[in-house]
Amino acid sequence: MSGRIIPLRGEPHERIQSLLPWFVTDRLDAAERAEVEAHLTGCPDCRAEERLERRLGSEVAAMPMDVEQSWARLRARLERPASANRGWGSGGGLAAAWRGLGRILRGAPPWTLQPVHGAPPWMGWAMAGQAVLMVALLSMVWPHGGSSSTVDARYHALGAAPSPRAGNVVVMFRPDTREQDLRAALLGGQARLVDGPTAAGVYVLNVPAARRPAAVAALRRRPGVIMAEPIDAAGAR
Amino acid sequence: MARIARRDLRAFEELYRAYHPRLTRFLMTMTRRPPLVEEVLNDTMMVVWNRPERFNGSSRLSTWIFAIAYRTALGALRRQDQPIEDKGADQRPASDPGPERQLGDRQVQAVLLSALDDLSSDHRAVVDLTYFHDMGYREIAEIMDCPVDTVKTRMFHARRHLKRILSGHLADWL
Repeated sequence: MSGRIIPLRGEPHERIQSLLPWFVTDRLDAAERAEVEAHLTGCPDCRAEERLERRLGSEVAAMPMDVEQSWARLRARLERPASANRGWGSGGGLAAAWRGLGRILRGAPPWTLQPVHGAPPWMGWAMAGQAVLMVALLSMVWPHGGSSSTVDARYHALGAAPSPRAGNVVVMFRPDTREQDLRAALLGGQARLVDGPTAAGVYVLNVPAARRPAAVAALRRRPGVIMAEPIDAAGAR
Repeated sequence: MARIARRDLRAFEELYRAYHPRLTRFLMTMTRRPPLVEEVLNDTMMVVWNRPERFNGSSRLSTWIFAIAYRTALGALRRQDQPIEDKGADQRPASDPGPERQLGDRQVQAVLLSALDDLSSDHRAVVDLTYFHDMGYREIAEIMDCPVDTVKTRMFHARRHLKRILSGHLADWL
């Protein structure tokens, strides 16, 4: 048998071959399996396809994934609370972050949780992810009250002085927002970009404290803005 | 899940650790972007933690979690302007394997990796869920929220593409 690709020959071969991936992984129901087995008995071409299918499936399943770096970064995030003696299960930093997310999700007004008009249905799920990022970003940019915060200490060490601008607003734009609209939104609110965008599209902004409520309200009125939220206690409702 | 619904963080940790390898594998194959994998995976599990009541037992737990991961990954890919479904893949001629792909059998997997990169994320998702996660086409259709025939069609075209790319090796396989 050569390595040529075997063309489908119509029914029943096409139907049988479409089932082969799940035949070789034993995920067909009894009737389908019996149908495939019966056909393979009398069809050398489809038997050749079955052999190829088994090899292809095993090769894909055995394919190495370069996950080590990814896992190392995730593990570092997971272990961060433990390094501050506030473990994973003891209500430490990560747990607090999760509770914070829960509060956001439970207490936020509908516009922060439901897709804007016309947005695709997955937007609601994606927004849950945005909230996660908000919490993660908060841990980086929110001025921590305790001096023992490892995150805080790291930032101070790098900058040798407190950052002149801490994020106090998070905002998420619609994916199709044009750059000039985004820029106009920032300029209109006298906002400066502190961090972002993350891969999930969240920006952390700094706006003058005195006019933050107005800036947040103005951001929310813009059609391209999916979410705008103050991120410190003074601005939280 | 009942423990997670009662906000049992240790139960959630167990679930997280149990699903981390499988989700990592799935999201890595689907998105091909390691930094995105981390984010989507954790976003997925945060939904599980915060919305456990949405799992009503009508499907397997893995189906529910993978469906969340799939939708979350789609959202992340869209925000990064990554192609989701390559509608022109069926008409486009397959890449000529070329001399650089006429490799020894030990390099089949390297060729496979490259061939998978040519597929859309939807096609890669079907391939991974089928071959690595041993899921049936009905379960995959549930995860991807599409008809079962769409799953079969995606798998058919993905296999055809992989076979074309690997045609230099097929004689050794048969």
